Amino acid sequence: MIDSAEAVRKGDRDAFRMLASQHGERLYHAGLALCRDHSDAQDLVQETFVEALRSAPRFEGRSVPYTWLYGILRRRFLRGYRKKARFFRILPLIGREAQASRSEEINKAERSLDPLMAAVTRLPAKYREILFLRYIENRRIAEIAALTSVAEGTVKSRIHHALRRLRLVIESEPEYSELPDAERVDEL
Amino acid sequence: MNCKRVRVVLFDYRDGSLSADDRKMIESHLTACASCREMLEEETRIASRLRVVFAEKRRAFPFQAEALHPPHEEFQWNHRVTSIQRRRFLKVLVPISVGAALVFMAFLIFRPARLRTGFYAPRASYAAGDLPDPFRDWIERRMIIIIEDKNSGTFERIEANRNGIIARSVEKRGNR
Repeated sequence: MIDSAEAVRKGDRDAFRMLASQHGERLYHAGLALCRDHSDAQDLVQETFVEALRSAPRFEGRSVPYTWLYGILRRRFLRGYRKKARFFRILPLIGREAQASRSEEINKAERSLDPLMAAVTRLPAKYREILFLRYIENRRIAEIAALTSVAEGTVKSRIHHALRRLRLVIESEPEYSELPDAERVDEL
Repeated sequence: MNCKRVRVVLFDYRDGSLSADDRKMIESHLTACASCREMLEEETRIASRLRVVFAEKRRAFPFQAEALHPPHEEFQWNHRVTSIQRRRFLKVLVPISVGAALVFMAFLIFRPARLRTGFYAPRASYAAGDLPDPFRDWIERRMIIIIEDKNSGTFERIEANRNGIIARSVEKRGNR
């Protein structure tokens, strides 16, 4: 871990490859949870690594590299998110059209997805992120609070709200009211 | 311990970050209260469902490691790509536009008399070879009058301003 931090601090191409091979897939999964679209997630990971190498001299090695990278990914995502929001505010007409066509695309992709995944995709990003951190990465409340820089109480209330929304989907879908089979979960 | 308080710390209970006493209290409440138990089970249920659907999404859109490229060799680590591009653009555009503006201004001021119109146009007429001095003309409100005598072929050149005649000279036509 220390070696990789050292190499990252040097900021070279080998460091890029090493970071990408070590953390690429995991970060991509985080990106997949944050972004609605998988190609956005792929781009986000690419940008994250580029920015990580750029800011590598400032990485003090206090946290685990993955946590540091996740923070960068998160900031980049939020920046893009805000930019998009600003764009849609400024150009309501074009924005609405663009948004409509985009959501149509997403809807098309969603139809092939599981209804629960579709429900997750429709959730706001903050809920999607928290669900990912909590149930996919199995993080504690305190860790999530540190990663997302909100209070622990906020984390809890977000989990609560996200679960409540998902519960509605599960209740409306008869196949989800039964218990999940354990083998299927383990195998994945 | 009532349900409301239990539900606040239920997430912490799952994390295992409660003290042993609190844990015991929660556990005794959970054995007694069906609705809180149900809540905990439901979270577990949703969590395992989520794991399944997230894994399905990962399988549907796998990570493409080969699509990641390291930045270009000449990449300047200390600067943003955008600012480099902007700087390169300015480096070319600014000198060109400043130069063009200077050339145009110089032309406006020092252009030959025959191309003069408007503000810097001569009030009467300039004798040939008389290089214009627009600033002096302008500041002194100098006026040059040239009177041609067709019989003798001479020009009388009179320079005057508001105070009167400054200079007066007679030139031959051949001097033009």
